[in-house]
Amino acid sequence: MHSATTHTTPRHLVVLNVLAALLLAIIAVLPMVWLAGVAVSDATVAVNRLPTPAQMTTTNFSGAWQAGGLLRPFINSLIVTCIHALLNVFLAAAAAFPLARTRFRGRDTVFVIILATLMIPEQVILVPLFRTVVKMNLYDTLAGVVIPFAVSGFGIYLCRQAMRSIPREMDEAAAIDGASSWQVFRHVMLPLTAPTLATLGVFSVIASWSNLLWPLVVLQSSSNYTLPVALDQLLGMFSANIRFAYAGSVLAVIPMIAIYLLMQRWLERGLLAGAVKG
Amino acid sequence: MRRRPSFVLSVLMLLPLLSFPACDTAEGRSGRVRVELWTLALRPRFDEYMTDLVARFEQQNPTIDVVWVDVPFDAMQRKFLASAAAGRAPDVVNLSDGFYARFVSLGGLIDLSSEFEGDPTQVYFDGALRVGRIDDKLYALPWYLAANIGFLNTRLLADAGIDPASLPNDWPGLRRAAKSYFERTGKHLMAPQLGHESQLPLWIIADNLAPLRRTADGTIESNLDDPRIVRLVQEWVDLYRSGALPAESAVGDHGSMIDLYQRGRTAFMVTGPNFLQRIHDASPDVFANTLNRPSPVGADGQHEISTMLLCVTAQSKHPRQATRLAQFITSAENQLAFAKIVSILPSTPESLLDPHFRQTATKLDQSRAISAASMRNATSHIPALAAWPELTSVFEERIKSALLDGADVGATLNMIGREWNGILAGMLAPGPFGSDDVADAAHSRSISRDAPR
Repeated sequence: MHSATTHTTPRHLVVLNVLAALLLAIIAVLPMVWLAGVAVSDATVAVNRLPTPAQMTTTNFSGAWQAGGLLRPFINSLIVTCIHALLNVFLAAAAAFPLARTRFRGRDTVFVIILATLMIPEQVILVPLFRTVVKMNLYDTLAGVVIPFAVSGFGIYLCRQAMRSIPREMDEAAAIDGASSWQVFRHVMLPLTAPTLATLGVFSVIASWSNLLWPLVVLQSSSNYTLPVALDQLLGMFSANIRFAYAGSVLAVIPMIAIYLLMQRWLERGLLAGAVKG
Repeated sequence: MRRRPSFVLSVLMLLPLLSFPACDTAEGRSGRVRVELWTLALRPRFDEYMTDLVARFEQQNPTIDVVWVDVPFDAMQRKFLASAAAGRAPDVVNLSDGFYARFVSLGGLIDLSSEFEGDPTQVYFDGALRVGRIDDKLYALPWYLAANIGFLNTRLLADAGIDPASLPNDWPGLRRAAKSYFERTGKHLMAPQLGHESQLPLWIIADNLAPLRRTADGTIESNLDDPRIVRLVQEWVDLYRSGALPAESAVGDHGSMIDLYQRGRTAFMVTGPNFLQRIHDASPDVFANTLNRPSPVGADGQHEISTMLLCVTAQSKHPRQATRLAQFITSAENQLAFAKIVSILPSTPESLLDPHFRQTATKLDQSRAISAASMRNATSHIPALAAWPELTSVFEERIKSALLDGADVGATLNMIGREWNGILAGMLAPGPFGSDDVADAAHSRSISRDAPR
């Protein structure tokens, strides 16, 4: 039913809003356009200019692929990202389940401690983390890249909120039917929080795929380098071939765009999950 | 019991991760010694040179296996610190003269004097060698270096009605030129680094002024309250506040300065000749209009050099073999071979006698020749002081407030001086400036001996 008195936004405000949104969109998109422009420009074009169609080339992509030896880093990034995302989703959900659904002494304290980890920047824990990885004999291994960040406080928080929004009657009904805690988790909680888990998965994929600092520190052999580390090496001290580096960055971004497009529907649902407690 | 598919899947997922073994840095194949070498940002361009270098060293030293690792420039300090904290620092590490002293102060590097075979003073330029000396100990061998040169964008200067030949080549003259260029065009002539990665402490020394002084009891303290230093810093700050220098002069790093030049936003800069290739790659039109000339100098008449160093870490289990590797890499023959594939200069006078350094066929050759000729009067103005990186860090943070917030220059320098004195408390004046002061120490680093003429 429509309200008797409908408010109509003045036309000049609508125009102003559209212009402001357009400006923000341009600010957000412009660096990407510039990145792509430099990546396809031939050697006669300065890096601060966009190429004309006649000045465009695809040779920078093959050049970056060969000069940077990007095949192996690409495979390494793929391995690290997939395992990191799967572990992150599974472990976060597993940790969130008791925090959301069971009562035990110190539960809130544990949750506060988990939340507190969100406030510690990666750089601060770099040295102790590195020492731990070396002691575990994981230095210069892909496992050393994945395991320290296999679960995050953010992921646990996200999953806990999503699980709390599911009516308790659901798992109580399963329990009456004789389901164990594992079965409730596996057959009730995981399916019902799937959009949130998918969202967490996408966040994990993006974070892992673009992570530079930790792999840079913990990896040593070029055969173990992930894509961001290999791209960083294209920017050497003597001759930074910026077109190759940018072309490599465009290649690295493509899988992320594809994943986002594939998961867009889940992502939007997941972001809203837990916003309103049922 | 039936194994759950998800468990099997998890194990399968982890297999590829665990298939890469960790690297043992101490011992290689039985009876052989493994020496790990970290270099700064040489891959992938110098893969062939480094691989050949390592192979030749291993051939000459059949009991040593060398593991070469290249580390991006920005990651080196972090990675080296983390590795040292975890007890797995490399044996030989390539550090820049700007921050290597920090690792000396942390006890991370060893004195090479006793392990070096022969007399280092007969191998390297005196000035380059002195960069590696702290407290009369040799903590680093000089590798390749660059004497800074000036880059001029002739088209931008012509647009402003300036004949490149008439542009002054001393800092007071350049300050005046920057002001009049800005007043005439509304643009910036140059973007010298005053705040972040500040060059001011080095320019103070280059003007025969001493930022530190020795006290009667042999300790050292700040000398930043010297009215001549206050006046010099004030002139730079006033120039910045007048708008004649861009914001990057306060907050930008060396990369920002190069970026402004290669985008045609500034008409003059001072840096190593090796950056000409980068400008060539990034901005062909700016490269075409670029003219090189010797860098401006201070009152001491010395061009600034930047030196790459090779150090042996305190955690090395094989310091003798590690020193031998460092010595091999920095030998005259190997430095000459390196200098022939990139625009850098060797730290060995013997290499610099090669005709290669007098070629002027291309613009890149010319820049190298100018840089090599500048070696007649060149020095590193960085004092041989372990605390120097910490002192410059304090200077940079505080001077930014004078540049950006309008803080009084004299008061800012006094504040910096007090913080410096806290850092230097009780520290005895080390060898190189035991005679008088820091300025003397820097000036005694002249590397004119045997430079090509």
